[in-house]
Amino acid sequence: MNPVAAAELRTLVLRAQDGEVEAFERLVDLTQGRLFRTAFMLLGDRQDAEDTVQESLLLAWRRLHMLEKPDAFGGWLTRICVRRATDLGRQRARRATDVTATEDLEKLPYAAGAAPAAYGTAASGTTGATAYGTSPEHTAIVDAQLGALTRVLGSIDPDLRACWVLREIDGLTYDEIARTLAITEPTVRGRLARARSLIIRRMDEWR
Amino acid sequence: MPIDPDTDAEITDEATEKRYRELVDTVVRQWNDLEAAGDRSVQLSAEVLTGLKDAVRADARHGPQVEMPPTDAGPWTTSELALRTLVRHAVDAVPDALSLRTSFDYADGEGRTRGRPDRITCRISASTRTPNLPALGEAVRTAVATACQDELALAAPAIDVHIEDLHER
Amino acid sequence: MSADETADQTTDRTAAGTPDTSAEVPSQVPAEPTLQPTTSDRLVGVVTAVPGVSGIEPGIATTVGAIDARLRRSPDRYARYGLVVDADTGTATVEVALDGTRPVREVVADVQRAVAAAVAEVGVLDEPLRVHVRVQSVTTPGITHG
Repeated sequence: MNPVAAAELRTLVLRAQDGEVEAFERLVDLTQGRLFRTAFMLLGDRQDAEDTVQESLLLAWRRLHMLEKPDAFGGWLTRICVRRATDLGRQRARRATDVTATEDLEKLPYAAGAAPAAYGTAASGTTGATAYGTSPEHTAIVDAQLGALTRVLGSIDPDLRACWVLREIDGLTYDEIARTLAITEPTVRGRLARARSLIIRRMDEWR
Repeated sequence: MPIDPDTDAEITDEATEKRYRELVDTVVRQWNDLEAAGDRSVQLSAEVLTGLKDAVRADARHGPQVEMPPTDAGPWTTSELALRTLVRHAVDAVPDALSLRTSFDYADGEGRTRGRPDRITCRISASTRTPNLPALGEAVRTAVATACQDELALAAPAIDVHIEDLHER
Repeated sequence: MSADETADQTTDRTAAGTPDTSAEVPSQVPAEPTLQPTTSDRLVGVVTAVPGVSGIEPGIATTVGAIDARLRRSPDRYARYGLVVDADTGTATVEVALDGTRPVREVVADVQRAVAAAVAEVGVLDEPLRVHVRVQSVTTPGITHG
């Protein structure tokens, strides 16, 4: 982040901690896009991603007074969001293990054992639609590469997926990923390596 | 399969590596482009954003109630949130000053109500074009003292001003 | 506008600024004056009509009072969220949000006078009501006076 943007962020965080709602609304505007991308890549479902981001930002507002270093706001917020997304992903995975019918499995995004095609179905809520949906409020984007990537992401272990998304999509350092996920740096490297290998292999399989 | 010492990943052939990199870079770039263009498909929907902001407003942390000098019609108190808002407005109204965060020291109060503020600490940012920082600090002090008197009939709490940041105006 | 005139408006405005439908105004003062909800709804209108008040903003004090009054069903104790009047002790608590257009202390004093005058009309008290105002929030970006 450039120094001017960092200074603006710090000012907004302090004023939001001081109780200024407008400052926090500006923080929401500045961060919601990035958080949505992370949550969407982790969960593969638009509505789940929106719920996660909304809950994360509300929790951040309620706990903002506990943040001692305003400069740490970005990483702190990412941790909240990733943990909520991970929890939600695990809840869905547990539900998926209770599902026996194949067609139900296919409806669950990123569910354990779900067929890759389930991603596109669940994300839009309509059979065969893309992740971005075709409802009037959204631009109808058909992106084959994003669709393929998210199908592959949906097929790998959530812990590997989390490391991969934070590194490749969010551009975090190994150290930042380790702190976000509360794991060690060697564990980050190992999971990242396995994720990359799996993704490369499965992209090849589905080409 | 050989291992890359930097990433611990298997080293695949160059073509595969290139395809993988292109895929990831393309996805990130397309998403960035959509976001920069304000495309709603890569952000929270307007309804969710509005709902979130409404919930934030409803969840304002008022803080404790603070005793104020009574009016000629009766006693009153104000929330710490309202106090901070008043100070923030007073500081922001001073040219070249931007309020960051305000804290209060209070006299002893009754029960959960704090006594009157006897010290106000203002953390502020100064514009980079401020010609005289001490004079700015003094202007902020005067503005806050005036607001306390005019708004609250609160006479002369001690006011500390800390200029802890600079901003471009 | 006087407290008498504003009392007849009987509008109920929350801190969110959403007007509610007005209550019926009784045509006579009852033989045994008590703080009935329909009469006491006037008090909310009296408060929100004071220039500088953006609405009633309930806090802990009046929420606890409101719950207590419903349980006790006392005719001389009226409570709703944001406003508690206790004729037994001769006190009232009002929790408000202000809009920053006038000095806070002036708005507070006007609220106190308006509520005391409205309760005095009902004739429940022998002594003037002691009105405690709790300012919950002050909104608007620049404060302008006058």
